[in-house]
Amino acid sequence: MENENTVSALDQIKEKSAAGFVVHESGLSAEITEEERSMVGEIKGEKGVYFFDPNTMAPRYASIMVNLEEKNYLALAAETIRNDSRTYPRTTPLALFSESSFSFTQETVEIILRSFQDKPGFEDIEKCGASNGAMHLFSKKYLDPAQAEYLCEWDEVGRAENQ
Amino acid sequence: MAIQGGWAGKILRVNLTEGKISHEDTEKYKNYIGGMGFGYKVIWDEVLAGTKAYDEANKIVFGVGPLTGSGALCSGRTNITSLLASNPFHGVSDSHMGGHFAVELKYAGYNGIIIEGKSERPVWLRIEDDDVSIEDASLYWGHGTFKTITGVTAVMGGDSQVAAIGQAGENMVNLSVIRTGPSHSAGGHGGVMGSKNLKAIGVKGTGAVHINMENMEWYNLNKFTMSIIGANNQHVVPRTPQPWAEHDHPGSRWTAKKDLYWEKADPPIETGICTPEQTNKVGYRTMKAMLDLGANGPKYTVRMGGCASCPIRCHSHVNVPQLKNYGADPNVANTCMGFFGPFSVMFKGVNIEGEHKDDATVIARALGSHVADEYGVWCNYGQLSRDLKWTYERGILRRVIPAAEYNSIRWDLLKKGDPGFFEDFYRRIAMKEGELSRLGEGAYWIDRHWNLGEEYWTDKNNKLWTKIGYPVHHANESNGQVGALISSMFNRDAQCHTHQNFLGSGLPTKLQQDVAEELWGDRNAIDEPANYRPMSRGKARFEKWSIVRNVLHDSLTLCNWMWPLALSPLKERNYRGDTALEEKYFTAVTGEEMSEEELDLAAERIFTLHRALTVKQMGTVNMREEHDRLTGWQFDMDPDKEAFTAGTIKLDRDDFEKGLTMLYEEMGWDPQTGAPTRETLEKLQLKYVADELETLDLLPA
Repeated sequence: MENENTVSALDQIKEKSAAGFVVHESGLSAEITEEERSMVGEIKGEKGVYFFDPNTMAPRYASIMVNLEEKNYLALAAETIRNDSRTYPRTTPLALFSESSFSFTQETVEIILRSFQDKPGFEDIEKCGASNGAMHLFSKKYLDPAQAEYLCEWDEVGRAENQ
Repeated sequence: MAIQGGWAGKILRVNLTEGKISHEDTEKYKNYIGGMGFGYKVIWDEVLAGTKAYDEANKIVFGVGPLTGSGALCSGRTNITSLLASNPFHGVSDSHMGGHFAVELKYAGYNGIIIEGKSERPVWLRIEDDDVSIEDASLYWGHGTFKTITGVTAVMGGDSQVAAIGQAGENMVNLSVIRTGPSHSAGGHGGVMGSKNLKAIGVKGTGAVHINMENMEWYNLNKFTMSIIGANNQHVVPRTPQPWAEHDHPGSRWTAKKDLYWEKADPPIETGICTPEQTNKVGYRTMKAMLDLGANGPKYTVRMGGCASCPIRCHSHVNVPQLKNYGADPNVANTCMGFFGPFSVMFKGVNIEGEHKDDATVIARALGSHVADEYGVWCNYGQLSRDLKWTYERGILRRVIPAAEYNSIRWDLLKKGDPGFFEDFYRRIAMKEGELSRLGEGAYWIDRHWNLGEEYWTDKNNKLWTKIGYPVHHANESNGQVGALISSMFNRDAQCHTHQNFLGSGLPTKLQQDVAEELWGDRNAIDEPANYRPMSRGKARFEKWSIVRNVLHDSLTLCNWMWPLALSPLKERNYRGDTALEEKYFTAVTGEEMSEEELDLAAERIFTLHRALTVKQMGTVNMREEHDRLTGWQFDMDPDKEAFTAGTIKLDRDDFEKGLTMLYEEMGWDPQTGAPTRETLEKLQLKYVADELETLDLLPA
C-alpha cells in the first residue's frame, strides 16, 4: 500500500517546475502513472527522460534545463543560436551564455567558440561584432550575414540611442 | 448628449493680459475627445495663421481627456498644445508629460486649461477646485524647476501637483521643457510659458471622475487589462530566458529576473521572476535603471516610479551620493532620454577619478539629468548633444563664437570627461549666454545662423529626419517605410510608439505578421528587421493605424508608451491583446456608446485637423514637397547596399514617394500634395475647416 506521505510524481514535477527545474525520471520518489504522464511534458535526453509541468515551464526552457543537466553545453549553445536566428530573427549575444540560466564559465564559453570553429556540424554558426566590442553569434542558415551585422550593432548600440 | 462621465464639465480659460479667469463648457470640444484634440481645436479657432510661438497672440493648452483620472490603466498624461518655436514655421505641436498633474486637474474639475495673453510680471497660476487665482511669481523667477515646484508645493500643500518652467523657459529658449513631479517633462513649450511670464501652474482638486459602469464590471475590465498588459512599451516577453516564457528577447524592458534588485531600497527589493499571471507584481517587471543608468544602475536604485493610474513603473529613482560633489541633490529620477539626452553631451566620454567606469556612467547620467531638468532644457530627442558634437568637431563653434566666449567655455572639463561640464553647458543654454546658446534654438535655426551647409542635414550620424529640424524617433529602423512615413507627418519628432511597441514586443516576426493580417488584412505590413520589402498597402494601413491610435491616446489621455495593447504576454491567447480596449474604456467611463471604428474616426478627425493647421500655418497645400521631405541620408546611407536587401534600413526614393501617396490615400488626403481634401474634411465633420482653407486658397485642386 502506498505511503500516505509519499508525494505523487505529478506533484514533485509541478513543484520542481515551479522552482525552474526539470526532473529526471530517476529523481522521482514515486512512480509516475500513465495519467500523470499525460499531464506533464517530457524530453528524452541522452541520459534518460526528464519531466516538466507545461503549466509553469515552457518546452523551450525545459530543453535548456535538460541540456544543462546533461552538461551538453555545446549543443545547447548551438540550439540557442539557431533558434534565435530562425525564430525572431536575431543574433545571440555571446554574453548571454555567461548569464543565468546558462551561467557558463569563461572556460566553457571559450571551448564552445573553438568547437564552433573546429568541429563538424557547426559550419552554419558565425560570429559578428558590434562597435562597442561585443561579440554575437548567428546561424547563416537562417540569417543573412549582413542582416546579422546590422542586428548585432542595433542590439548593442542602436537600441539604446533610439529609446 | 449631455456629459455623463469621464469628462469634467468645464475648461478653464486664463487671460494673463487682462488677469481674467473664466470657465467654458466642454460640450463645444467633445467632438475632439480631449487632450490633443482640444488643443488643436483651440489653436484652429483662436490663433491666427502666421502667429509665432512667443507672440502674445499665441495660446497654450493643457489638455486632459475623458479617461484621465478615471483609473483606466496608464491614464495619467497631460497633453500640451501650442505653436513650437524650434519649428521653422512655428507649426502646431504637442508636448506631453506624465506624473500626477493630469489627474489632479480632473479632480479640480477641468478638462483643460487655455492660457492666453501675457502677464506684465512673472506669475503663477493657482487652481484649487473652483478657486483660481493668478499669483506673484517673483519669488521663483530666475530659479530652476526643482526650487519652483518645491516652493509652489509649499504654498499649496503636499497634495497639490505643480508644472513649472526653469530658466530656459523664462528666457524663451526654444528647447525648453515644462516639468512636473520628480521626473516628468514635456519638451518644447517651456518658452511659450516663459513668453507669457507664467512660471508655474499649481493644481489641487477634491473632486472625482465619474464612471458610467457598475463597480464589478469596471473591476472586471481592469482585471482583464491587467491580464494582458506587458512591461514598459508593452513588451510582452522577458529579457532573459525564464521558465514560464516560450519567448524572450534581449531588447525587452521586461527586465525582472532572479537576483536583480532595487539595491538601495531599504531593505533591497528583488524584482524576481514575474510571470504574466502575477499581476500584483507588474510594477516589478520593468527594472529600468539597468537600462537607463547602465550596468551599475541597480546598485543606486531606490525604487521605480511612474505616473498616476499606471502599474508600469518605468522611471528610475536613484540615490547617487557622489552628486553632492557637484553641488547637486543625490536623489534623481528620470527615464529613457531624460538620462540619455543630457548624458550624450559628454561626447568625449566620462572619466571620474577614483570611480569605476560603470559608477562614473551612473554619476554622469544622473547629474546630466538633474542639471538639464533644473534649468528646464529640452534635448530635442538627443539632437542638442549631437548638434554640440557636430559643430565642435568640425570647428564651427570656434568659427562662430567670439574668442573670449569660446575660451571661457569649460572645454577642459569636456575633454577630461568631467561631468562638471554639464553645469557650464546647460547654464549657457538656459540663460542664453553668448553665441553657444544658439544651440538651444534647435537644428533649423542654428543652421540659419551658422550656415552649417548641406552636410549637416545629410550626415547619417547627425540623425536629422526632415529639414524642419527634428531627429529620428522610431523611423526607418522601425519597419522601414512604416516608421519613416510616421516620422514625416508631425511638426516635431513623431512621439508615436504605436508601431514601435508592436515591433519591439519581443515576439517573433512571423507571429507579428499573423497579427498584422488580422488587424490590417496584410501580413506584409511587417517585415523582418533590417530586411525590408517595398511599400505595400498593408504598411500604409499599419502607418495610419499607428498614427490614429497615437492621436487617440493623446486625446483620451492614455499613455502611448504602453497603449494600444495589441499584443499580450499570454500564450493561451496566442499573444493577442485587445485593440478594442480603448473603446471599452471610453464607453465604460463616459457612458457613450462608441465603436472601435467610430473612436478611431474621431482620432482621424483630430489628426486631419493637425494637418490642416500645418497647411494653414505654412501657407501651402504642397505638404509632400514643403513638409514631408526627408533630409536625404535615408536614401544614400550604406552606399555598398541596395534598398530592400538584407542588412540595411536604407530607403528608396521612388518607394518613399509611393509610400507618401499610399498614406495620403489612407488618410483621405490629396494623393499629390498630401493636403486634406474638402470631401475628407466634411466626412470628418470639419466643414468649417474646409471653408476657411478654401478662403485661403489652401484646398487641393
